[in-house]
Amino acid sequence: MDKEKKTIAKEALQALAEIEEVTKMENLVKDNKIEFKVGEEIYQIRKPSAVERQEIDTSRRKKYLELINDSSFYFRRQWVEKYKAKGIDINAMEQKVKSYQGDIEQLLLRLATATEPKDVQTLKKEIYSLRDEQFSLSMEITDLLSHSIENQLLMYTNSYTTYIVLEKKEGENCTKLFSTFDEFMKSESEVINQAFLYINYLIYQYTGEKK
Amino acid sequence: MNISALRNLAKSTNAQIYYHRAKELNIRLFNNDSDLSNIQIFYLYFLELYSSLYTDLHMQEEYINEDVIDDELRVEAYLLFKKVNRKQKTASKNLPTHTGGAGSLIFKRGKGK
Repeated sequence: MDKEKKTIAKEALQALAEIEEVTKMENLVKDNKIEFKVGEEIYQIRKPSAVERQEIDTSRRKKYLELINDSSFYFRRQWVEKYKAKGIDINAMEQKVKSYQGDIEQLLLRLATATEPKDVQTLKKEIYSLRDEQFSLSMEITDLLSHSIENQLLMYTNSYTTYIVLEKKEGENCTKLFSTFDEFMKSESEVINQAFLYINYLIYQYTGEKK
Repeated sequence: MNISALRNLAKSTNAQIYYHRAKELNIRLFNNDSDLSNIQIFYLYFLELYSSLYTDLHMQEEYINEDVIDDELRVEAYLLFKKVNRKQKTASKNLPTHTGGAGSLIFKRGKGK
């Protein structure tokens, strides 16, 4: 009986957590700006204006020039060659990721027509297992190429955009939180962590990599 | 991004009713009319996705039921199955037949010199 009560309580807690998540999502969806609270203060991030987008693009271009003029930075393709010389074949790893996808799709097609609960569970387990392996391999590739110019530029642009659109809200007025990008980069606050989290909800990050 | 929570929101009865009303009566779904955020674009995609799944359910299409709709992986499987089936049907429609294939070729007499 106690065990039953515990299970009911656990399910109730899970249901509450799901409702909370959905409510949170409702707030994130309703507008193209997101407000969040850290301590007693309210902050906001929003989509950049046309002028701000131009500023981000200019800054991105300058960073790109800086990176390609620095001999310690390499393009993704160059890293792939360097790894190959060391016996790590990234192209083969990417092929493997694709072949996992093919296997997953075959299982998905079987899952679509499965009606017996036992078959459904077995197929789901197999798919999740392959997905885990595929994800691990993808993460390994991402880690190996994290220093590439493309990746560095993406991280830089993400940071710069966050710096541009992060504001502190006081009543109806919003003011930019950091006056310079250097100040933003040097700061290690919870506000920045939250802003980085929410920026992905607002802006699609195009990696520019061929899939 | 918590995609599961976003999907749960999009498939909820309230969101689906509101989405259909918004389409019929041209009501705004968001505070902003343009310049949609990434999450708003995803949300619209899921609203439409679950709307089409519920339509399939009402039409009593094969391999769709409430259990499938409540399971993200089974939804993915069902959508892939539909896509593959559609492709196969289109491919078989486009195959030349004795009556249709040859008739599509039009021969014109060349201009005499």
